[in-house]
Amino acid sequence: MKAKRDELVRGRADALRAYSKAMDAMEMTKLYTDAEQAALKEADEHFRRAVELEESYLKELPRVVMSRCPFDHQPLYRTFDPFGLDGPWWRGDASPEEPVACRHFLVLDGALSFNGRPAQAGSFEVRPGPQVPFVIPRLLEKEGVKAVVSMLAMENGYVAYPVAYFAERRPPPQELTATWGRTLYLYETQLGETSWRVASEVRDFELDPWLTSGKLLWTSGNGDAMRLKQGTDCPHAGLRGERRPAVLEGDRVWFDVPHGGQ
Amino acid sequence: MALPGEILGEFVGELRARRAAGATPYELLRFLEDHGVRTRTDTFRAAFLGWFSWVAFLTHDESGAPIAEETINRKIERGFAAIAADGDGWHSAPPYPDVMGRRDREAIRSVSKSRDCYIIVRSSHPRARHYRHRVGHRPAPARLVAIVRDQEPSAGLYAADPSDSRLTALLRVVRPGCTYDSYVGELRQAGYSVAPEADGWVILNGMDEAFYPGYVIQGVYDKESGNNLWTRNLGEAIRRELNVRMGASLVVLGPRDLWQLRESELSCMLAGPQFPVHVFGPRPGGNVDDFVDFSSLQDSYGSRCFAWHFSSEPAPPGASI
Repeated sequence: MKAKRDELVRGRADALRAYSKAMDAMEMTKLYTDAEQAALKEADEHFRRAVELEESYLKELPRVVMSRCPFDHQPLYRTFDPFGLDGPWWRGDASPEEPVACRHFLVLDGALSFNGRPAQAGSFEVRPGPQVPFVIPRLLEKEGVKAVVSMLAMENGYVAYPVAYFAERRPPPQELTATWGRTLYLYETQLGETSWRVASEVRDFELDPWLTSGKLLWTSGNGDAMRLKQGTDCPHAGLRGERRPAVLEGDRVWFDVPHGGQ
Repeated sequence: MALPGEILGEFVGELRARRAAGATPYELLRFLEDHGVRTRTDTFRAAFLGWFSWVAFLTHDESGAPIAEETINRKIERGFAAIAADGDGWHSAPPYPDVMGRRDREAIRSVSKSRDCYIIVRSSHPRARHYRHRVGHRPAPARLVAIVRDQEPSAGLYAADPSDSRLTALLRVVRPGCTYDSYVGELRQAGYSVAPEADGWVILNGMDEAFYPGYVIQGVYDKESGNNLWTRNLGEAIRRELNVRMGASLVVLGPRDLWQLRESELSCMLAGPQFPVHVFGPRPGGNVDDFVDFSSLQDSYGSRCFAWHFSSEPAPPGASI
């Protein structure tokens, strides 16, 4: 699976490089000329190739068990790229088609530890979050909402901490937030109106009070063997690590701007 | 008021520079011809902010014989004379509103054509294109609370100038109770720094990179039905295609028409549509309409059956944050 994924990611990156080169050539041509049209045509062929490869990549992505619903114990399957941050799944504007979740599922957030390894992404910005797990109090304080923190070891040595939110009764869509790694929250209200806002949430890294209250649960094991646990002996709580959310592009790493803008 | 049907910011700038350096109308015309610009009258009107008769731009008469250079010069100079009588405002005019270059223009056109939709996008900050492909600069992230500098030094970059009343107003609304010092403190805690006054108080990330503003999409509408196309299923796909085609994350927000806070007090200086905007259509030539005010854009929405999302005209237009 990794070899095929790497081939698709590499092929897509190569096609986009060729597209960029053709667009650079186009910018050197005169407007409305045959040379301009030829460069645009060539660029478009490369772009179409990149799109095809991206579609194959998304189709081939594993659908992994990320969490388990605390209400009906159903596994939560989501797409995921566990092989590296250079895959377009990690783009802030990615929108892969997701498997159907149980009716209690609200949203998936998460953290990503580099686990002492060098931070490395692709040629685009990715925002995998802080390096230690956290909750969003604004969501978790809502009546009937529970969160579940899990751990997934990535193939490149990083460690992911998905945090999934569930509720017995769904809050209105406008009260939820963006999925892990995405920068915008785009939703449809119960009246069918589409709207969006910037994903900007206050995070709480002190998990013990949430574990004590039973609002936060955790899992052990992976895949279909993932088990739901309750209580304060959560191995994902109290982890030491960078709490500022990272932004990566290539081997460049910085932190996201502070909470605030909408 | 609607402006001419093609975005040609580069040519407008070049025409102005050449005219200021003493070029004759014929030389300007030849420059446009050499670059294949077919909308010559419109480009002259946009560049010199006045009226030129299209007849003046004819280079051949009815029989097909070339018109003498002196004749062309004389006819077009009449237009320049009328403009000079009105004060020659083009000398001090801001750059013609545009996107940040041909690649971006083609990217928006391509998405418009492939999805058979209209894409309405605000003109980029006039100085932003200066940083578009420069090392040490990147498009601003969506959450950055800061103001784009309009003046040198560092015009076109996001800054935290303590004397900028727009920043004070912005903080008052989006971060009530947050002083300038605590705002800068939060930036520093996140690994950012603020350059000294001599460098325009520019905000730098932990890699010493400064931020320039990307594009603000006003709306995306289906050509046939006029329905919003930026839906929960398609919106991010459209955004991703624009960003990938442009080669940078230049579209970091959703359409202004659908913004949850579009009419909230929290929208602050981003309230309502902001001008100029360019309407990219799926027509084969990829023509573009430009709008510079609220009522003409509202009329255009009405004529194309797009839903209008604003109850009143916001103020002040053009304040970039």
